[in-house]
Amino acid sequence: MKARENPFSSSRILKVRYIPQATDFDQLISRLKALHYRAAIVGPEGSGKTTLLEDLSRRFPPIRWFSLTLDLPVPRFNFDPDDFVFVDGAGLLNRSEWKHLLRIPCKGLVVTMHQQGQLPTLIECATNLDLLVEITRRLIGDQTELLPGVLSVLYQRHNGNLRDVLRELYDMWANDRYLDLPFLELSEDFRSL
Amino acid sequence: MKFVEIKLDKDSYMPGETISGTARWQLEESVKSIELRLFYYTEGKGTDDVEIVETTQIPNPAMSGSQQFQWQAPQSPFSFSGKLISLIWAVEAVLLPSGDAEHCVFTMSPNGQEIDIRQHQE
Repeated sequence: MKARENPFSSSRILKVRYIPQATDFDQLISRLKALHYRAAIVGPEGSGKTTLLEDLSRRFPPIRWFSLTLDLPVPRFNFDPDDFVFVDGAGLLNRSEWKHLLRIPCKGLVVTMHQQGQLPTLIECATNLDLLVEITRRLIGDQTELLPGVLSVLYQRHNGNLRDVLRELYDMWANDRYLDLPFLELSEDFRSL
Repeated sequence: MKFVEIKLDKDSYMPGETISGTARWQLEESVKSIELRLFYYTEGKGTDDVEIVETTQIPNPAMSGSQQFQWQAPQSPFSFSGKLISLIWAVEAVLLPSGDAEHCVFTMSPNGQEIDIRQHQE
């Protein structure tokens, strides 16, 4: 299958927005307000933290967005007192960078972290198999019915990291292995990979 | 009813050829401008990239209207698809400042066909 036809391409996955589990956006906003708009979204990799941060940021203009990654130096935090500040990957900040960030006046500060830390927790993101099934359904529709066993195996293989599961599904579609899906879940080779 | 659409005169163009078409729109409220963009983007497993090659502004557009556009196609890159990445050419109309947009894709290559590199990825 060509990349542009792959239902698990990055651009199609990005269209599936955060699906709240046991809460909703109104409750999240209320809790954020109660925390004086300074809070952390906590959770393991591939649990939807960045997607939720993006979806929250759309409700608080004007915003300043910072994405921190291992391969780039931490940017200079520069924003106005009227800005809502969103920092993705704040777990990469060291103690003095945190101190600096927390000291700059702003209307709100919401970050993503793998573990609880310097800011109170807004929500702990977690995944489950039903969530994976729902996201997959939004990407491939009724074809999802063909692969409940496959999704279960992939979910366990990637320890609940949905980003990695979706990447593996991309590869399966890219290599046309999806044609074998009804048989794949019965295959010992697939289960033991 | 609000709409904006792009119609290209052809589905495929060769490098250096004139890319032409018409933008049509009907608005529910006035916009600052409509920007027509010739661009290409990648789609696939990794992060998507976008490169805007040409733009044409339609400042203070009427509530409904149409405008023809044309640009000269650059020499590269060609439209292609592999298993991991596709490069796609398109023209889009963007309502500003809202950012609402509609686009129309086309193929850009010497023979008018998307280059399929999948067989080289086996």
